[in-house]
Amino acid sequence: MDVTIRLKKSLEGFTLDVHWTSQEGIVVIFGPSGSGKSMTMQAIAGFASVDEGYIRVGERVFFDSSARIDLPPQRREVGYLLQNYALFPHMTVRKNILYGHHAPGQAIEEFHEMITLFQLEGLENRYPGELSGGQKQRVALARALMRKPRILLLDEPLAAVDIAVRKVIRMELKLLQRKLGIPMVLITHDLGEALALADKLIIYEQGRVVQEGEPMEIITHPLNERVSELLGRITLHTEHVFSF
Amino acid sequence: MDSFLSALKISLWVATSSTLLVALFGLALAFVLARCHFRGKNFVDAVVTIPMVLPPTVVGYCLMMLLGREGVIGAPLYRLTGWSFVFTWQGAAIAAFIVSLPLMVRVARSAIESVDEDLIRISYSLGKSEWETFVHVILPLARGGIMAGMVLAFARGLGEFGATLMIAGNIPGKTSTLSLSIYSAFQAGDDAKAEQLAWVLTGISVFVIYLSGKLSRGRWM
Repeated sequence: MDVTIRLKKSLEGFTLDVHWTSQEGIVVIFGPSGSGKSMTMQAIAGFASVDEGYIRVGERVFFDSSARIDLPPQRREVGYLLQNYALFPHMTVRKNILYGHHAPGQAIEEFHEMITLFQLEGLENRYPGELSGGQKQRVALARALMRKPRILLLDEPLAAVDIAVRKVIRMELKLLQRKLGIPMVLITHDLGEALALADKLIIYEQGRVVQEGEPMEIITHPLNERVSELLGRITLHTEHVFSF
Repeated sequence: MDSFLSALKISLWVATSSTLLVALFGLALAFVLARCHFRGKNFVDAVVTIPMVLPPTVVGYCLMMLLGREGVIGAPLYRLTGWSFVFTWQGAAIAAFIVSLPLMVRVARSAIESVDEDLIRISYSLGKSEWETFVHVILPLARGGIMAGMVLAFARGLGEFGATLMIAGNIPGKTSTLSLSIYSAFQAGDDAKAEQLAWVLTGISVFVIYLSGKLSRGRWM
């Protein structure tokens, strides 16, 4: 399922003007803080307005300023994983996961599949306050995927995770995307995470795309000095860079 | 004893009725002020808050201009039905409603505003409408503050004096609330009775403040 993003938004002191597409797999938007990554994510989800643009996922157009199409968030079928997971604290794991389903009473089989897929057995009746960070993330993912979204958006998914388990979770995210086959857009300011996860890497700076392509291509052929700086002038030992 | 029970019954009737009205209108106003953006929002906020700062006798006077037998609403009502809010417990309930509404709105609004915006966005992204999000996310998470607001409104309604005296009078067995009965007893030189009633009202108020504090420290806050 291909994704087409074209966004323009002018704010005081900042302009977002980006255009990129993706055919499949995991798209990673990498860039420093304030480069427009979160704004892009929020625009795709329908939480941030833009001045003009076009957002299409598969055959569904979320936003088209020229055709005056602007689907509300409820109709975009976007799975959104926030950095703080945003689990409903007053609902159990079961209720959190079933929250978005249109007929929760009839979703027992799907629910159990999610529990198994994300290794949440035994936690169904716990509240978010009783879960570890990793468990919360898995519940948030299960909740987002229960609705069978067209696209999954992940906002710095590993920022709150211990360094020791990051490699494991990177692998799990990659395997999950392969298994589900839906496009994933992930934003991060961690270069290692970007290189490890991306099928397509898009580098943002000051509201613009400075380079996009396969990670290896960008590393070996940075377009300019600035891209090299953003990539930290890394000397490649690819077996380390591309291990999960 | 009869007059004490009568005053207690009238007070509870008036405070309960006004609190039910406050719950309905107060919650709606709190939600609109917390979640909506519109021109004139500050003006609406000011109008809702005014009864908190006006002298109760001024509030009572305004209510008379509105609901009295020659008032803007009271006159046509009296002409059509032969009934008026003046000198009735319903008038006392309206007076209590007006003075306690700002308390409910302020506390409930604060509780609604404190609900994490990320939770609301996630609810929308999961396909829930604004109303469904209000019912399933905002209301449960703001419940403690909303309940605390209602309890404070009840206490305020229970202790209302100035506006109640203006519109409902101080008719024993009909509109004479605990507050008004304390005033009557004191005026008549019956200090023992005034003290007794004052202790009862103080006891109820202290309990209400305690309950409000417990409710506002809700499980999910």
